[in-house]
Amino acid sequence: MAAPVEVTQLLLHAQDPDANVRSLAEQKISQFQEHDYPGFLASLAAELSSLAKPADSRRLAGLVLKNTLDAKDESRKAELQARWGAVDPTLKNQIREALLSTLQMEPQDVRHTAALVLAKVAAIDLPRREWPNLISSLLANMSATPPHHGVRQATLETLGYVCEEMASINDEVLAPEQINMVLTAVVAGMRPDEPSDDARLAATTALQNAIEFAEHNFDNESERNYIMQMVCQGASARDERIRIASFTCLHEIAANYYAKLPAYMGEVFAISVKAINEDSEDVGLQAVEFWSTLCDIELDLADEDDPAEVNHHFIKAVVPHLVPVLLKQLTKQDEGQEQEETAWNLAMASGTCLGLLARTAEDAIVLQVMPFVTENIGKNTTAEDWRLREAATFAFGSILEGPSPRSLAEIVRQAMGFLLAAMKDPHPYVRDTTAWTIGRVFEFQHDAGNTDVPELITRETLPQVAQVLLGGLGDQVHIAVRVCDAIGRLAEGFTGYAGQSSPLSPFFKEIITNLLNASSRSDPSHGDSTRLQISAFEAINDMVRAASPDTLDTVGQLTPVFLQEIAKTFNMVTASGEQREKQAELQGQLCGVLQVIMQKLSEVEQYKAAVLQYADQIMETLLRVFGNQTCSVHEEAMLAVGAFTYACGRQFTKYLPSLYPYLKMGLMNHQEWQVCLSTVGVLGDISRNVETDLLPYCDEIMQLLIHNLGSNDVHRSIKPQILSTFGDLALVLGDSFEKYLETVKRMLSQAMHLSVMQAQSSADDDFLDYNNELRIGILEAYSGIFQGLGPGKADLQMKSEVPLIIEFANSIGRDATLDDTVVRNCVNLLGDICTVVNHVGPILRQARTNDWEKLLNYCSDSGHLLGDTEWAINAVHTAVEQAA
Amino acid sequence: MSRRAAAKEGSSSAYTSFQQKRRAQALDRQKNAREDKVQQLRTLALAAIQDDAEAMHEDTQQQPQNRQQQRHRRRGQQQQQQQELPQDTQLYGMDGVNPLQLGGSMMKAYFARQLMQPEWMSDIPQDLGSSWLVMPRPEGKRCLVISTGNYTYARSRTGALLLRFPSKLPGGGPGTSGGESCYCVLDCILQEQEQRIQHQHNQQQQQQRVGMDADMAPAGESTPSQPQQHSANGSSSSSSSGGCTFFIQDVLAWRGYSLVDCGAEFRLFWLASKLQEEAGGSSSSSSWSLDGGNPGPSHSHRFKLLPYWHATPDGLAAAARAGAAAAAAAAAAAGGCPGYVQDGVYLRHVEGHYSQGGGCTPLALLWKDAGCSRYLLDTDGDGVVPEFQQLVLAYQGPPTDGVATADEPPVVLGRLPQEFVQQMGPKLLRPGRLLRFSIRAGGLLFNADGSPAGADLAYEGPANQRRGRADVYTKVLFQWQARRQPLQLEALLAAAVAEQQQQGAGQQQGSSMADD
Repeated sequence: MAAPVEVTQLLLHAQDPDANVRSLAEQKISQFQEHDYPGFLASLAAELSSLAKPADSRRLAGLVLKNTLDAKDESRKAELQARWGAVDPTLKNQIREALLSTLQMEPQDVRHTAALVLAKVAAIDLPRREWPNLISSLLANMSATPPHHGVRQATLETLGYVCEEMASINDEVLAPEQINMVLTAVVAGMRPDEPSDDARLAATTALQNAIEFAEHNFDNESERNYIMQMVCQGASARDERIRIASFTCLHEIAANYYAKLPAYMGEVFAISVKAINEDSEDVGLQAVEFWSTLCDIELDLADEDDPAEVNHHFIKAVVPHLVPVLLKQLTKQDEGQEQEETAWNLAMASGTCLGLLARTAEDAIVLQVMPFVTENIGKNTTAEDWRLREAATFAFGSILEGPSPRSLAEIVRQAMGFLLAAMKDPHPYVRDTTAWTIGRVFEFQHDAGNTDVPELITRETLPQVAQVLLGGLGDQVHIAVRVCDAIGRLAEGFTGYAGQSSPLSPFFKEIITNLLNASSRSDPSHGDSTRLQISAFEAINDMVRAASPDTLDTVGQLTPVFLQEIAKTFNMVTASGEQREKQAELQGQLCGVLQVIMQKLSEVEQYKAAVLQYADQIMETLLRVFGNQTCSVHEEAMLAVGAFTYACGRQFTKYLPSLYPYLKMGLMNHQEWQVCLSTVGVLGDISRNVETDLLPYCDEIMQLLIHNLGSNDVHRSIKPQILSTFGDLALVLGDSFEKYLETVKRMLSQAMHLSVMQAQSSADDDFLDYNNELRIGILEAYSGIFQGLGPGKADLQMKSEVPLIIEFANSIGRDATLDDTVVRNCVNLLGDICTVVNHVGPILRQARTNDWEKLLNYCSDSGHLLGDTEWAINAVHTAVEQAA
Repeated sequence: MSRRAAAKEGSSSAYTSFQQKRRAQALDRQKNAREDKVQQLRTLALAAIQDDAEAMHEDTQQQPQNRQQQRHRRRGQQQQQQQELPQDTQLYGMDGVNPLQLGGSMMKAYFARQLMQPEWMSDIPQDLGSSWLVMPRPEGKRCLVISTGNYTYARSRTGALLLRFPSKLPGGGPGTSGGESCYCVLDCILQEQEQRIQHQHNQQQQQQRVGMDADMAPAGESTPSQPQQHSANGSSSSSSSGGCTFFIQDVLAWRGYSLVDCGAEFRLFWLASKLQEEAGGSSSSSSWSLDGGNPGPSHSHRFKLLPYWHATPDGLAAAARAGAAAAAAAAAAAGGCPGYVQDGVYLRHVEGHYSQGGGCTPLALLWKDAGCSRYLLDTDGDGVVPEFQQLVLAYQGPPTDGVATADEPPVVLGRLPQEFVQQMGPKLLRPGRLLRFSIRAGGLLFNADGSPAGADLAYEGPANQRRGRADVYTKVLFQWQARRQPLQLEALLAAAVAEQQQQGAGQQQGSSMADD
């Protein structure tokens, strides 16, 4: 039995202002934890539950105890939980009792700490069916007479935290009666006649966490009515915190019981409008948020279009009533808020909500908003009228996404001139919002590739547009950032422009030059010009992506410019960690631009030379960036290498020796999984371009890939990519891949097994998405192997795998909803098999089921898949027919 | 507050989202490149998928039962075809075609358009001696040979797969591959094993021919009564289980390098020098041969480059007797290099590109006379020269109801009578259907400028739809002339001599490109 040890001094020292004292104490604490875990727990619990001890050390004892039970990192958390699980039951009981008793003891903030620890213990114990009397003990606190407000408050907090913990565990841990009792206690605490506001607040907060368990209670009309009544009454409680918490409860209720809402919408509308119009800003924000949440829900419903899920179309109904309320809030801007990136107030929240209403109600919003826009956008009689102009512009910008382009086209066309002129508005916030709105106009209304809609930006209108945007780049930094974004959207809209020359071509060079200048602008008025730099580079990227053939020469000229820019970063001062980080970030952005440039040029055969003339310089630069290694740069440089390989083709071979160490490092970087993932992808790029020249490295590469595939440390998103890369390598190595074949076959059959099992167990969308990624990886791997080995070899080496693959195809065919990419890859693989393996027909006929046929039929019936798969369908049919 | 970050697309997380965009772009690039790559190999490997049962001769031995059933079935089909004009099975009209065969026919159509189609020589080119090359033309099946991915594929003129085997051609067999870009495409005449020289007509062969269907070389251009090796009882080895010879006429691509846009002289020069390199550069012989590499029953196919000369009087004479010379040499070598039976000569303009796409090119010409061919006149299925010249024309459909040659544009030689069209009905008489006619007493008709004006046609019956296309006009004309006033070797020699004399005595020497 672990005996508690006196830890008060230790804990107080751990909070000492003297760093030396502090770190010594922390060291001792962790030694104690390591050497005598039970004693450590007992001592902390004793400290926490001892009235005689100082509140400071008691509170810290509670927090340290909590940290021995929980961690952010999942694997660490599991470790801690297992350790608690193995503690002697008597000691565990002793600690549980200490925690419960602490709830009864002053002061309140130690009660609060105890509530936090209790929930963590409950999170481990309840799923194991330990601590059965926890809930009843807590409920006893609620019904004790005479009532003690502090105890009730701490108990309600505990109930809320316990529900929060239970919600994160998928299993149904709490019995229905327990949930019932918890809810009864919580809702009782929310009554308007609850004497303690703190307790009522704790109850309302607890309900937020308990709502998701209240399914049964929400099915019962009288219980539902009662809960809703308590929540709505809370929205007019005298304590602002309770009003805020009540609206948060409404968000949760809407998210969980949307279908049950109709009866309450009238009242909810009334209290929310009242809150928006009359209450404090913090309450008003939550009220607006309720409508935003409802939009999210209805957008999801419309998106999923599941007939089993009812859509009440509350938003369409509320638009005429809610829009005027929100429009009024738009004029409540804070002075100078445009300078503050994360400004959040009623004006911002209402504009955001308006945008969501537009996406949900679509065309219906236009008529509700446009009168406000036209009336106010030109107002300029008093000094304060900028508020009206900004609000009108914000409202207009907000409704650009959602309504059909048709319903907006004419309005937008007429507004263009006005918006361009407003870029010279005397008030910077109006210019800021105008720039944002122009960007949105381009994003949603400008698509030169779409012939269904009349062109918004033509060769006639573009000169003025370009002139205004270029001017805007010189405006205040926050406005220039928005202008960069608008330029990006403008360019994007020309991406689909067919032909040698787009209307953007005449301005291409000038815009890029101005963006380059903007990127290097150091603006004393704005401390942080990084934002502008990032946005300017991204606008250049968009310009390059959209470049039409007649501007590729200009794109080619950018290569040395950006190589130069990267070279300059090596002269930056890098004394502090922060400075190094900044350097790395800038290198990342520059490598990003280089990547986009090289990719664009490599797409056109004759412009590969524009990259190749700097080949050595490019590679030297990228290697230098690698040498400067931090995660983000490493990845961007790696992606740039990937793009570079397409310009080089087989010539890339000469850079392999110097690149290889970094390639290897990337493949081994399991912590930064994005880096690893990108490296795997780039390995594929390299293999396609250098082909068999990769051979000398392949033994080690294959070892690393196979290791990654089997490792739990490796992020799961990487694994499908690795399988695809097996296919890449098999495809280019041909016979030389044979020596890896046995291992790869084994990996693939394991992966198929896993995928088939996953497909059988019903799972959430995330899970299905991952399984589809995995399937694509498997299918691409096999296609590469079959085609890489070619007819004779594939027949010899792979024929034994064919029945497994057909079962795998069957498993895909049984999907309720088929994924286009998976099906296309699968049908093509079947085609590959029938092409290079002899007598597949009988195997197909003898398969346990012929769900694979559904895949063929799916492609045959689908207009867009047929083109890519027709050959395979025919190959399979031929094979089957020959078996007849 | 998650909405705060989304508000007006605040760019606090812009870098991350921009980076994500680049990642997505990189993934797209990788995905597309991967698909392109695998698609390249698919296209090449697809060559093997269809006609396997028909052309993979190992099946004969492995599954005699199955093979016999197939033959039986196909024989039935063919009989039906002849009796009642079956559902359309010709290349471009897909209606009524069993969809299971669609892939095959699409593929065939593709390959069928790869071979250069020569015209028949109806008049002698002015620059014959100075600008043309002449090559003997062996009897056999014209075919396209593709070596890729460690296999070599032979496809007939209609695109059907005849053979798949490993060879020593670059890319054509194990140990020859230099990556996936390494492939060759050759234009060859396939002489099947033990091709019998003797001309035989008997009932048995007729049956064999019925069994040939798609593999059958179109009647006319090759030798229609040439004995085939598909023996009806299946007892002996099949046609090409050992020792076929491919006589190389031309090259479309060598080691992945396309030569179709090069002149004929350059192509043949390239071919000769490359073949010599492959053979180790030891031999200067133009009759270079690559035997099949590793020994084995299906590995012993040979490749043999045909000799060629400038079409000077000497060159023409040499080409016209090349077959006889080769046969004599073969007999003398006793089992060494194979001889062949000659069927005229093949002439190409030195600068003529390798013309593809199905249409005939006037820069490649076929010519034969009785001195260098066993069949100056087309024979029927029984090997007999019919009384009237036979020809196959394509029905053009309403409203003209014309019947025309395969030329581009087609030459209309007649019209079907209204009653005939009605009697056949639109189901049987679709546009594009091939019909067999004979030319009767009225003969071929010409306009004043010598261009075709029509012919006195008599309907003989439906043609074998599987031959793929109608006759070309120059062939009709050549046969027409051959029955009346054949173009003799002497006329060619005389033209070449006259040309030489015209150009002066200094250049009379026929520069032989290669020793015979």
